[in-house]
Amino acid sequence: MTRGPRVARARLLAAGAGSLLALALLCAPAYAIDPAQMPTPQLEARYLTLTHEFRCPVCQNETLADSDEPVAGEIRAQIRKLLLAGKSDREVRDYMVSRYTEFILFKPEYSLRNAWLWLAPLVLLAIGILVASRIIRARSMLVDQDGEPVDDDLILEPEPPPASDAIGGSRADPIVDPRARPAVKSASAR
Amino acid sequence: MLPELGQFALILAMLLAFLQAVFGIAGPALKRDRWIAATVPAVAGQFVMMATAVGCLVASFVNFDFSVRYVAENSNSALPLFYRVTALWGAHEGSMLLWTLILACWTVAVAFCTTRLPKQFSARVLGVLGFISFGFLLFTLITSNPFLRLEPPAPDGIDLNPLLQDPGLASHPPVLYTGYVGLAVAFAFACAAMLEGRTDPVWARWTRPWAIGAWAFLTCGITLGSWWSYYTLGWGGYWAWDPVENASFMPWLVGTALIHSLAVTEKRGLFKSWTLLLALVGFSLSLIGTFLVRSGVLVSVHSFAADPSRGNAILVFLCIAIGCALALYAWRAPALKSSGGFELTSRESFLLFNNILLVIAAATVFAGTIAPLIAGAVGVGALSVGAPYFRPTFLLPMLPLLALLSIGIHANWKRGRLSASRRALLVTLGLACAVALAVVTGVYAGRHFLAVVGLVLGAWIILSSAVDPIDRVRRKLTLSRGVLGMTLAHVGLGIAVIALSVVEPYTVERDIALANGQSANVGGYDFRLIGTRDVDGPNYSATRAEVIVSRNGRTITTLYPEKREYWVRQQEGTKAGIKNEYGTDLFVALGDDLGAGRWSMRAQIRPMITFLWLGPVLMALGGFCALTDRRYRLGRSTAEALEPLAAGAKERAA
Repeated sequence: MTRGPRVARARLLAAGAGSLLALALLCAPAYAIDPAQMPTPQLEARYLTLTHEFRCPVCQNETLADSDEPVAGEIRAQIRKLLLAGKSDREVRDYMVSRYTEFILFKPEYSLRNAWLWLAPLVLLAIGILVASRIIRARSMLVDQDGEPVDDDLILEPEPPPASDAIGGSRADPIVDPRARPAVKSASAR
Repeated sequence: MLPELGQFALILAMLLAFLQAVFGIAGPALKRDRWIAATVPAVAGQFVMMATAVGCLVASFVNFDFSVRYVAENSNSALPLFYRVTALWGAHEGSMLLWTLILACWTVAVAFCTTRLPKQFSARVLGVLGFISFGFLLFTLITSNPFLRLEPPAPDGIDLNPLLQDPGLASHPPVLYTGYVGLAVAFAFACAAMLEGRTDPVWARWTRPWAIGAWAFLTCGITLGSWWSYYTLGWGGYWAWDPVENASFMPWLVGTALIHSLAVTEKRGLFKSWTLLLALVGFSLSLIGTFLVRSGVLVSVHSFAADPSRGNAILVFLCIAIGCALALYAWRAPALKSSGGFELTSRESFLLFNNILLVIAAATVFAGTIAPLIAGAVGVGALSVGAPYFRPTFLLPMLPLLALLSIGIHANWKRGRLSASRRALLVTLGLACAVALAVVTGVYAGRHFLAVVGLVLGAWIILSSAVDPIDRVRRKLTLSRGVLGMTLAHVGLGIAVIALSVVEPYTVERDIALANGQSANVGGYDFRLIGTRDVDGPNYSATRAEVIVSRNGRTITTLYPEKREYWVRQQEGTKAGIKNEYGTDLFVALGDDLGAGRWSMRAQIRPMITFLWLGPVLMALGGFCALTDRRYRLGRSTAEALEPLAAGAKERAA
């Protein structure tokens, strides 16, 4: 393991040791306002994207762009230099990973190691679609079998009839009696 | 004297919580009416004791009692009164106290509002809440006692963290905790239902207002936090996918799924076991969030209370609480069956999609949040997961969800007849596309694909959910509070989606360096530095800049960003100058003195950001509005509803 994670861990330990002031200082994200500009808007945009994708290696979950730590400033300057030297984003990323390990990337690499993380949403979505289709297929077979009254009245009913509506699944009377509703209404009006 | 009184009250509160748990859970099980009857007095006593304890700590803060360790660590003789009170929850110990006080408040509300429910059931709910309260109070007393004394007393306090000396501290934590803890009520209702062996539409109706209330508070709390983080530099803006932010967002996503699933359970008696599971998972996620944040296993910019030594205690409590609940679930859920059917285009189907997509979103956020932990545990090297992961993976379930929402609200229960609403759907979709194109091509320069998609979806949600209510008002029909609340919440969501689609691509942000009298153009606005001067606050000295913002030569406003130096902790703080103009924020923060009268500054133009707060506020208002629906008022109707239920229960038992 290289210095990035180790420094972060050391800081955590310092916090754990309970030195109050250390904790207070640790929790103070001083903010980097860095007016240096890249010569062209394209380079500036690439620089901003990259610095937002990297983590400040010694901070509490801050991006490189946001961090006021001297180390972060140095790395930002290094990124500027690489970009000005005509390096591609890929090359800058590789350089950063080689120096600070993958810990510095806020966007985990598309690698076999991180496959589960990147594929998780897709797999979940696939499972979700499968589950939904099975449930709906099973339930749509039951539509005609169960004799529950179709309750279209969520929006139309100002006051749901208390007894029959509340019981839902275990309703006793399967057929809607056309006289039942007015009777309930007049009861509540009284 | 007062701190000892406070500690004594806290111990009594814990003992009362224990009694409440035992009487509430064992009473109904052993059929002891006296035990059941004793739960409510235990609740009342616990509340009084909690209020006393919190009052004692507040008094210690107000009276500068620096012999109390927690007071000495989090306040100072120069700290204004307002922050001396809010400093109560400015660090770990006090925020645990606030957490338990809010739980006591919810418990009292439950005891007060469930008097018409069957005694057994409400006793069980109170019992489960008592168990949670007991766990947290025990944890507070053993590992995080805020009443510990310093020997000898400190001459002065080392002050509240300057970042927390902000009005945001007064509102965000209490409201957020109210939401978190409110989920405990839904959790308790679910546990009570399983202990009782009864989950039916009546149960869903009892639970719904509590879940909606908790959800509305959680919505408010997250929004307040997002707003606070937005104007505080160094916290990553309004949303940075930081672990602390995710920890509040996951319960919100699951809570949103829960309130929709409860609707199906109440109306149709379906999804019973699923609804129970969501109620359990929602609160479990707030516990897990507390663990991740407080234990320091995950690093966050918002952690003010991390202490690894406390992590294990929370983990133990977490395992017991969640383990018991899941065991109960495993025991009861298989017996829950329902025979109701529905078609593909019915409202049930759309709510099913809603639930599945929201849970996928929550699971994705969860995976990303704990991935660094997993990587560390497996030993494959350190891993960081940030916004560049969460943004695309979160949109994956969210975009279909937003699209299906507009259609789903027009679907009927059981048998979908969307053909009746086809015209309304197409017209609103067409209008939404027109609005989106007009905004993207007319108002803002630069076309972004996602901005167009977001604008279409947001506008469609607003238009589509307004169709039915407007139609009803025109036909002079009444609109129930529930439907009104639902409409408000959906419109709020639409507004938030639109705002997000504009804020994200069209924000202009630049760091500039200006000398007195110089100006720089950022996003069409001129920022001119007039000068800087020194000002003193109650416990800090500051440099205040005067920046005039103008557009096309017309002066819009003067902003006064400050850079502060807090005396006690010798820590810097910034106060941005923000002016809101028609929903667009003009934002300036003061950076460093670059020498020779030049200052670095950050200037931002954020269009429509106001609506990013307004949308969620409307969502929460919708929730509060739905709460007042008359069908949740437990009057005669509930008593009537119970009769056939009891008959049904007997039938099932036979």
